[in-house]
Amino acid sequence: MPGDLPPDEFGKMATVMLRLHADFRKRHGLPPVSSAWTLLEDLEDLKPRSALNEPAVLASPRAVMGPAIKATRRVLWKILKPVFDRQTEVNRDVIRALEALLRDRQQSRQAYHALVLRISELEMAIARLDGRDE
Amino acid sequence: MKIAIAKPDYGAVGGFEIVVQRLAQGLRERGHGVDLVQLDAATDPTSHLPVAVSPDQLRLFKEFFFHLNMVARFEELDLSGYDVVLCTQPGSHAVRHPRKVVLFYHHTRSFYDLQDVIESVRGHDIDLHQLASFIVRDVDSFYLTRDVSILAGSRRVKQRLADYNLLYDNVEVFSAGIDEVFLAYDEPLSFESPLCVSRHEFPKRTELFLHAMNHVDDLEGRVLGVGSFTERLKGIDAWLRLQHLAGPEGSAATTATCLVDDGKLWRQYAIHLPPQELQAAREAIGRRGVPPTVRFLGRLSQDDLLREYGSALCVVCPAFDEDYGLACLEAMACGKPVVACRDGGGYAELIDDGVDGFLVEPSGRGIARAIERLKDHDLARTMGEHGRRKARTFTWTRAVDQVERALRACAATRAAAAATAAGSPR
Repeated sequence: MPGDLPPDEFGKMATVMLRLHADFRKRHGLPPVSSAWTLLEDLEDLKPRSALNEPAVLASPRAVMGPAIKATRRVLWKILKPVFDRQTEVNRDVIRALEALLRDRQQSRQAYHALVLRISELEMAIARLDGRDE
Repeated sequence: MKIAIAKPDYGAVGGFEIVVQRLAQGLRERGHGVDLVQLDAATDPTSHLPVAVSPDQLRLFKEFFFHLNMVARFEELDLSGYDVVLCTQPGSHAVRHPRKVVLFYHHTRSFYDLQDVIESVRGHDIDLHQLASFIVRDVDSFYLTRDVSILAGSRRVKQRLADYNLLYDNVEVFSAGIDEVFLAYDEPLSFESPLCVSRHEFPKRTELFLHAMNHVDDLEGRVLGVGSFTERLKGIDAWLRLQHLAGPEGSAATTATCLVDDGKLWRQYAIHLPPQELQAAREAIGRRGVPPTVRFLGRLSQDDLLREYGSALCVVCPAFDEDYGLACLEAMACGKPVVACRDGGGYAELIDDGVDGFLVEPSGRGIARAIERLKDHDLARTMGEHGRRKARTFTWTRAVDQVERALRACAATRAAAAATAAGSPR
């Protein structure tokens, strides 16, 4: 499209708009509105956090026991990691399901809107007919 | 009652400003204390936004940032000293007050009913424009709820509130009045030039009238009004006349004439024709000594305006999907038939086609055909008389009655609700 912005400018503008919107909803105690954009950002945020591969996380600052604690944590982590990985997959599935629900809700809202309009037209038509009968 | 009328101040006096002035005056005459609480629209449109906006971003989506900023500014106002607040244009709905009535004439239209038109003509990034529309609508829906009494400026506006905000029950159609000076106009009428009354902005479509006057013989049109498009319209007028002079219509040599498609004329050419091309057209017309088909009158004093109405053959209001139609009613009050387009929104509501005016297809040729019919002065005079009778029902007394009733009902309902809440057992 002739008016399309380059991707980086597009991203910056979208971010500004979404931040303003998020700020508005937060100030008024409204829950955040999920959108394709925000869900994508959430996913990007989740990825590094869910991997837990930062070695510093397992380290202990204690002088004497530190190395032993770290070694124990490594062993535990080796056992638990598959569980966390599985949980991460589940979390992502949940997010995808939420995305699908969001799309579905959007479509339902449009259908509901169209229905309301149609009903309103019919009510007006009936009112006109009633008026004519009287 | 002590009443605040909340309104953005655009530094101009248009139809809506007249409505607000007359209502304030009418309410004061009935003993109410009325203050006009205005926020200067010329202030930095990002002054109250919590996120930094670059100059480029502001330039591209100024209306979006302006809207959210205006909302934030009105929300910040402390109007607790007033019994009731009458909110008006977008942004002012955000006033925090337990008792408020909204006099609603339009949304920020480029994010609502004009969204598709704006996207098709301005070359905005469409995805971003749709995101902006989604946000603006979400923000507005926080304030425009079923709990707020709304007076919609026309049936068309009421329909928009139903379409976009799903609001029905709490919306009443409001009819503004016409100034007595128009209703009392009794100078002898003459039927000379077609007069176009229109602010020179997008999408008021004054260019359709310019196009029409190339298809009307022996009459010079008059264009009343000003706006950011005025100079551009003069260029478009010259450009249209050049196209028209390219050859007799319908001949093989008139490819240029065929280019003047009315849909494109107002959606594309009026905005995107390069200034150099328009300037060249003006110079070419000047060199050839072509007589003008229209005369631009600019802004007129009320006396001059009445004189123009009095001598108009008819009044043409070509705007697209107008919120109301004050010019139409003024013309009718002066005994003149009105020509508007079928998709003219509020204008189309006010005209009984073939009785007090004509509703035509939105094209220069459609408008020209109506003008040609009104060259029959007897027909023009008869239609004008019908219009005059209709206009007499639009009085300010009736309009102020309606607003006062809504304000009192709002104040009483809320007071009763507060009393019930205070007296209910805990």
